[in-house]
Amino acid sequence: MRESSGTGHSSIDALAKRVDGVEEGLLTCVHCGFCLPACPTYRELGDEADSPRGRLHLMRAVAEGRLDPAGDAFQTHIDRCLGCRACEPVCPSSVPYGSLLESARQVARAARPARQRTAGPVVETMLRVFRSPMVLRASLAAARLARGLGLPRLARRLAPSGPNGRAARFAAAMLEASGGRRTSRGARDVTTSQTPTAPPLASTTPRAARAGGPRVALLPGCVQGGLFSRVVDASERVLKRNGCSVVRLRAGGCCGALHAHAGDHDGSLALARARIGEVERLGVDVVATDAAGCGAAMKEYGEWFANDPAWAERAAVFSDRVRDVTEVLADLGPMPGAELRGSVAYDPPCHLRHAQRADDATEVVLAAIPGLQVRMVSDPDACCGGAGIYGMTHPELGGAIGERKVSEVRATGAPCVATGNPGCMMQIGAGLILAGSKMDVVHPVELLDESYRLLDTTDGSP
Amino acid sequence: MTSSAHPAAPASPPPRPMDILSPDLARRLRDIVGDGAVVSDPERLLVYETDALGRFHQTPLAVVLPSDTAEAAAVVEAVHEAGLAIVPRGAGTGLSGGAVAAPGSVMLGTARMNRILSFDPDRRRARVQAGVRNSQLAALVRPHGLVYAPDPSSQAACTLGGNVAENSGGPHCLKYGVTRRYVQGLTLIDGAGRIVELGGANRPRGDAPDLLGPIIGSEGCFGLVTEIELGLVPETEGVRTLLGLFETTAEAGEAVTAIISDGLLPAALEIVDRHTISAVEASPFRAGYPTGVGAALVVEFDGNEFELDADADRAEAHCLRAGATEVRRATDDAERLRLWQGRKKAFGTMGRLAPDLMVQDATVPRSVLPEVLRGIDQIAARHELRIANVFHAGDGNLHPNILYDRRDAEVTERVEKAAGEIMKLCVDAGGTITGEHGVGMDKRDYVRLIAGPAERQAMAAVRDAFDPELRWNPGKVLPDEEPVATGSGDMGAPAGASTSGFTPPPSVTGIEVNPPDLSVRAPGDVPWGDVQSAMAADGQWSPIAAARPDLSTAEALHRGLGPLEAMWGPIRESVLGATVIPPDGGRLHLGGRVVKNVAGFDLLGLFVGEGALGRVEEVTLRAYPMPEVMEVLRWLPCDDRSALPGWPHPQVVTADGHAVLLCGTVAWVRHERARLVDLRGTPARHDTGVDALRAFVAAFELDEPFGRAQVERDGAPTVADESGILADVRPGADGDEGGRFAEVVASMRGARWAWDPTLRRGRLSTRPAATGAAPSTPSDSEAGHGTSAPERWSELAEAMAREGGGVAILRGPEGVRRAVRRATHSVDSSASATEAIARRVVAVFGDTLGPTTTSDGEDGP
Repeated sequence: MRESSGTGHSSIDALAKRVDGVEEGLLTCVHCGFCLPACPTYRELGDEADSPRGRLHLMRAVAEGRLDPAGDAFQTHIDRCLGCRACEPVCPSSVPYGSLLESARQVARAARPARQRTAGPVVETMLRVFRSPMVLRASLAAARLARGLGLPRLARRLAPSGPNGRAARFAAAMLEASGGRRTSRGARDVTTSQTPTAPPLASTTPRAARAGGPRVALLPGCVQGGLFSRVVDASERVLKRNGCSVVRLRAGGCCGALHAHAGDHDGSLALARARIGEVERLGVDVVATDAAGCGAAMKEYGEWFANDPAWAERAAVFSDRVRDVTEVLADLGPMPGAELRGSVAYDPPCHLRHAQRADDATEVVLAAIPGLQVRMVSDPDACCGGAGIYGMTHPELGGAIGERKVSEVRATGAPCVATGNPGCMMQIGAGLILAGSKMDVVHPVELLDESYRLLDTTDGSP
Repeated sequence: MTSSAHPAAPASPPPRPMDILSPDLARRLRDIVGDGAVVSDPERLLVYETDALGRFHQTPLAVVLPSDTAEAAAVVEAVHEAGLAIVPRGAGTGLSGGAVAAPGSVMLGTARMNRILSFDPDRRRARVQAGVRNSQLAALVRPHGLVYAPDPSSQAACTLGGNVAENSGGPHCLKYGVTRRYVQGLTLIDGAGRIVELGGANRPRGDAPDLLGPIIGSEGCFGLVTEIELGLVPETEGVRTLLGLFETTAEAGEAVTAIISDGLLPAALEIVDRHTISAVEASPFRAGYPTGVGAALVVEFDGNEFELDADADRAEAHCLRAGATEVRRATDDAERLRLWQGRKKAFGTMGRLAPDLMVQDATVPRSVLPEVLRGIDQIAARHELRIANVFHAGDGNLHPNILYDRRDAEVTERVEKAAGEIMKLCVDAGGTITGEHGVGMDKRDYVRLIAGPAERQAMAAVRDAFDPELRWNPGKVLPDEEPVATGSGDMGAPAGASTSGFTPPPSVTGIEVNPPDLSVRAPGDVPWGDVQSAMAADGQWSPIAAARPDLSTAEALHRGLGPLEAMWGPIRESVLGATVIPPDGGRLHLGGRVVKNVAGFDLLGLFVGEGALGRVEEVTLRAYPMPEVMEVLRWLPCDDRSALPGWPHPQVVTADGHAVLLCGTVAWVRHERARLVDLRGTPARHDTGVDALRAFVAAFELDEPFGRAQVERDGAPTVADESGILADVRPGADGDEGGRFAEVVASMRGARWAWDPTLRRGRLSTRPAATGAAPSTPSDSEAGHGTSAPERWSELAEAMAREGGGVAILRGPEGVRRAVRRATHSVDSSASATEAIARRVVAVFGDTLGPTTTSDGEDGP
């Protein structure tokens, strides 16, 4: 069993302390079961072991020495959790399930026999690739090339049947979805609104950037920056228009969320240190990201390093400054844009709604677009099944969960759906493609960006 | 009764070598439900070892998750053949250890039986699988303006099957009643693994007692409920929620007594004490309850908008008079929901206050609430313990949860003493040991406080009637009895039994009305009319309907409520307790004096209603505030096209509260095809109902004169002469049942009939042969189609059974009964299973049902 570098998080003892609640005060699970209906895997499978309460029970059993962490039960059920954290808002005792899960993943990873120390070749490769910005950028560039050449569609058709084929087909669809349907044609198509025939309502605030906004470091992240740079571009423009001075960091810097979720403790900490160092030199007020998963992880850096005297303060300072782009805009009060008549479905990412509890900001941002009808999906608390690469590691379960979300999204009747996380965009997008739907998937800031662009265009100024 | 997450938490005993699921059985189970639906790995089974109470731990041999009744029955068969017991489990949210495995048992989980099978908004009912969550049903029906009323705090997670097993309540059961009021039918897998349908006219025979009643609250010991038919209520027009702040819980209790004594019936009355408030306010569910107060009282009224403010004002006055420092009103929906969120999540937030919690669930009569609360404070002070009290004050159902740390052995000892003292205090005050959590494993020994040896033996015997081989959920509810030294075989106390601790209540000599407790006690032999007058003198009323006020109270209890059942539930709901004399003698003290009572198996239903056994020596009845106006309206529809149009739009009228709901409680219609509507309530409410009814009549162009009716108060069809045949007819579920019933009526020339659209039941009474007043006998049946001819009824019974309905002969010659039974059995095999159970239940008390047919299967004549 490996001890990590001094934080004690990866040891079973640390897990024991966390679960016992000594470290967290008196917050413990009282077995009430309120988390069960909120859990996507429990909803699909009906097995207590695939519920948050059941997983906590397994963690406690490991901490008490009653259960072998290397055994199939612990490994399977801890692995099967999506990490969506929908259980946290409904828990009366405020059990910190998300961070307990990360500890459990570390224990699970460490406990696997040496020859099986990997979580499967795909995951291990990804973890290694994401540790190196250069390799990551290269890989994502290759992915973009493949995408541009239409290879995903080909791969879909050629993929064999059976579970591996299904996983491959889904992965291909995810890559295809990341390209967006009508990337360059803009919101006019996306929301199927007519071109406004009248000039937009005159706005009383000048169209030029406001003055005096905060200094923002915009982290493009790994997948977001690599496959969704158009979204980061939109974020940058929108922030600037609202008065921020933006320093955009180079793409390829992973926040470590993937590693934390996979239980690669060392990997996650190393990446966190890199991000913290990178930003510290810039002297910014806000660290912004438009990827909800990254925002959630970075807001928790303070916790990751709580027991590390060298980094505790630096991490806490960093985490305090992290905001989702929509939060920054909502705090400033976004400038209104041009009218976009039409409707968009909205599905909040789990890491924005449950983990960060910051999804109100998105509604404020979308409200700055006149004429846009926002249709919330019928079950906004439910995960789309994205959960990083869950769709590839758990094709059947991820597929079933994803199908539910896709049918809810389609049921809104809107021509496109907005969500604020790249993983979700790919998961929902892939599901839509495989279901033969023409719905487009966008990030909320893209809509605001387009609304601003329309404002500029129709008024004649460049 | 502890809830804890401590590393030293009790663990399941290690499995013995033979406690491994045999590969044959494992394979067979997997063949039935699929690979993913059988859990047999001991490591995975760990998560099933306990429930929400967390005090008892035992892993089962396996967990099986069937998807429907058929799979469940096949699973049960397989497990029975292997000689193993089965423990049902819903969502594992129980607080009495009821869903904890017995050693060497197989657990059957209902998590995959989570489909809502049918939903009829017009008739306000739904049929669900047992694994459907309470709030899942509530969410489905809400957009239709309907509510599923029982709302336990765990409703987000708990299953309806679990609600049936525990007869769950919730804050709104004060006004709306507990689960039993809403169960109209269910499917049960009995001890022999047979599928049994109960409810409506699915009574095996008219001379058998109600079996549905005892199953509700039987904690999974009588069999597995797989499907349930549930009634729904319309959402009211408005709601008002108040928060009264007090310095002590006792003062809050006094306010509660005052509110009820004044004739108000809020939808909910809940009290939370200072410890609970501090826990809730420290959680994400903070409700804006101010800290620093001793107790908070939540009062909620629902009903018609025009009357809510007056009710709220009266309640506010009572709070202030009882010493409230402040009374707030929720100004909008968001505030109201936040108040309730704080109450419903309260139990969960207590984890913040201490590592361990001794959960209690006692119920006392409302009138003694203040003194019991003071007593509990004294016990807490004496043992130097903190108690967090959160409870359903309106029902007198308390949860004085003791906070402590199990690691401290000395404190633990004090806690266990205090818990016992609190229990005894509540029972001595006229209460009972559990109001809603059930007995399970946790309170088995306390059952001795409220049931003597005879009662416990009767409960065990009735359980055996459902499950002779104790296959279902063994080791729950009833305490172990010491072995009987002599083979007396009767309901005598086991020889050498220690003092049971049960003190029968003192007999009542006259009528005792108890307004603050909303109850009345009376001997069985006094005229029912006298009881009604005594209650009326105190402004109270009981919905038990009797044809004639000169009937004795005991005889009145043999009736049903007729149409009022749709509002007030079956007659069992109106009875709190009774002393009964079973057919073979002896005396049983059943139930108690409190409104919420789930202590032990509920046998009261066997002794009231049609087919009741024995006789009632004295009874404690539930009372309601007397409505100011009670009236039955009638009109005649003008066309014959549809003899029974029913009520197509459930929103036509929203009378509520004391007024009988329209749309379906309209009840029994006389042979001249008049429509009757029973309206009760305040004058304003009454007028609203009349106006809405007028509008309805006009909208459907029913243009006959519409006016007040001179109809007997109860509305149930009387039969002037006691001869002739009286039968319940329930047409099958497809198509227009009212229309179908009309066809039946048309074919029974001269029959008097009544139809209840909500309960989907028709009642027929046919006179004896027109040639004479003498009742038909099989020997002089008319050729072919006389309404007394057994052949006629046989045809009818078969036709109804084929479409999933039934005929139950309530009164009639043996020839007709036999014909109906034979016809029903020929179609419906569940009827024989039900009849076998009924026969055994009745035999427990020394009675028998009439001669049987030859096709009964296991039981002969």
